[in-house]
Amino acid sequence: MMAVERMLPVVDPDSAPFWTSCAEGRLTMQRCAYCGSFRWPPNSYCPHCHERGGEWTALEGSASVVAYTVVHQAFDPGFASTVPYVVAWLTLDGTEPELRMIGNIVDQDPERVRVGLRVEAGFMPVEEGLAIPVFRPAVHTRADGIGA
Amino acid sequence: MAEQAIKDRTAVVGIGTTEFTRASGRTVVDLATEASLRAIGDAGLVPEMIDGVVTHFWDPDTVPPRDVIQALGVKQCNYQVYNALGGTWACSAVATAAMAVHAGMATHVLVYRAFNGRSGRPPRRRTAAGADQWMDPFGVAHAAARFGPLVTAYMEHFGVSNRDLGHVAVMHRSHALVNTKAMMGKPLTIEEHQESRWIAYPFRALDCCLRTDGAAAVIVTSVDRARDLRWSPVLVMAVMGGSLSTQYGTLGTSHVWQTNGVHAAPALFTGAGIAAQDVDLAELYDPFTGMCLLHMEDFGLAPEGGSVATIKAGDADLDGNMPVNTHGGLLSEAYTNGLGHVIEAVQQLRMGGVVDDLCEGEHDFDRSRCRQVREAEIALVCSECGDSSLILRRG
Repeated sequence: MMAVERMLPVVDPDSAPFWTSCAEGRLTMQRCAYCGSFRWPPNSYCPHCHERGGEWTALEGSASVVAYTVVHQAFDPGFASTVPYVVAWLTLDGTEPELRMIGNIVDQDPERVRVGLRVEAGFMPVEEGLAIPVFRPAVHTRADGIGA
Repeated sequence: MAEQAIKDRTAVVGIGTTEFTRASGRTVVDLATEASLRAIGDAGLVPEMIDGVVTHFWDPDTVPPRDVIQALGVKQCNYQVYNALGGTWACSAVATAAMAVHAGMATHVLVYRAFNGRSGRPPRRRTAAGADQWMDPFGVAHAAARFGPLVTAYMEHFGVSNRDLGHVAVMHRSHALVNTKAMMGKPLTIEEHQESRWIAYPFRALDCCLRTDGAAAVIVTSVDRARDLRWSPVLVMAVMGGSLSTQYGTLGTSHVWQTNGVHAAPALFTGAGIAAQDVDLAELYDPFTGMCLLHMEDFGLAPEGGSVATIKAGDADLDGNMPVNTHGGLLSEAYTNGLGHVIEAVQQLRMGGVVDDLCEGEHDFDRSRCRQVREAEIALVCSECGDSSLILRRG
């Protein structure tokens, strides 16, 4: 297990299924059992039809960068050895409405990150039973050619 | 929507600040008390007449109203607010004070923002709970990482460069040079901007606002009461103070880089009974150069993708068509979390105008010493992401 002194999430009843699946190497998102809408971040109620509960659905983990920043000065000491690092806003394939989450782009020269970059989710273990999702440039391209 | 019921019913009648420093060596309640006493005195009031107190903060970086009430010797407080929304809330603080006055709950409401924002930063949290679990574990520990993505997406779409952002920084600095309150007193060049270190792309150090120890305060009362006070009143025409999440895409904007300002602006202008082109000057939240550009466009003061051209053409200068951040803003005056923008708008609009530029007598509009905008009647003020905003006018 990697020793990473970053600020860790406090897992709560809403977020526990997400973090559990990350530890298992799967990117899952919450989907309303009633209207089928995806939602993020996790919440007890569907913001679209207001039904309580939902199903956690595994995604392929592919995503597109819609916005990003390259952090050069670590304001969190836990990231002091990580700079420069990329914080991206990512739209997740296979979600409707299309979900947007924040994630780090790794294994990629930060200077070469652009809006539209196609990425795939991976998982970085940070302590027993807890892994942080990370995103790497996609090896595969989508059938529609985006990211080619 | 129609004009707001509160239109022209309340006024800002007093303003005050402490010195803005890098290490005050003073308590926050000391700073808050000084700025408050200055604002109360500026209005021609005495502390015993204050009956409402409003403040905002970010993290536990300030003192609550009860401490300031105690320090000022306020005898009866009818209304207080201690709000945690930080930079989004400066205009809401004024709006809240105006609402308390308009409702008849209070007569003279003090609004203050006080903190040792540079020397007294709170200790780092160890864990990220609630919404923070989607931010801090990914290295979003600072506003630059939180707002940088909006600006990067904007810049890529419109072909804006970091050098272009330098023009925003230079414009702000030129205004600060004729502001005796400003922390930054030396001219800035594009080259100096380009040589400053990267903080978080697209922001260099000179794209980022200052950090400041100090306090700012204003007094709000009814328009009728205002007529009896020291200065000509600056009337509150319209107020807005809502928010929707930006980073999760739930905002419902057309583009990822747009702020809540695109929603607030139409309602704000309608509420005031004016259009964007009626605004004579704008004091827009500028935590980063690029965020000022987004605010200019989202409030309709520059065409989409055109704010850099607006600034390069000099239209945001003191003699431009739409002067922006005439005090130097958070970038070059001080980090007052937005109350400084309100104070600047009030100075520009009231009889006699700006008091803390370098003019010794009447304003002569010589930009080496005078920062008074000509014929300033109506001002727009907005806070972070347009989450709160005000239209003020000369009374």
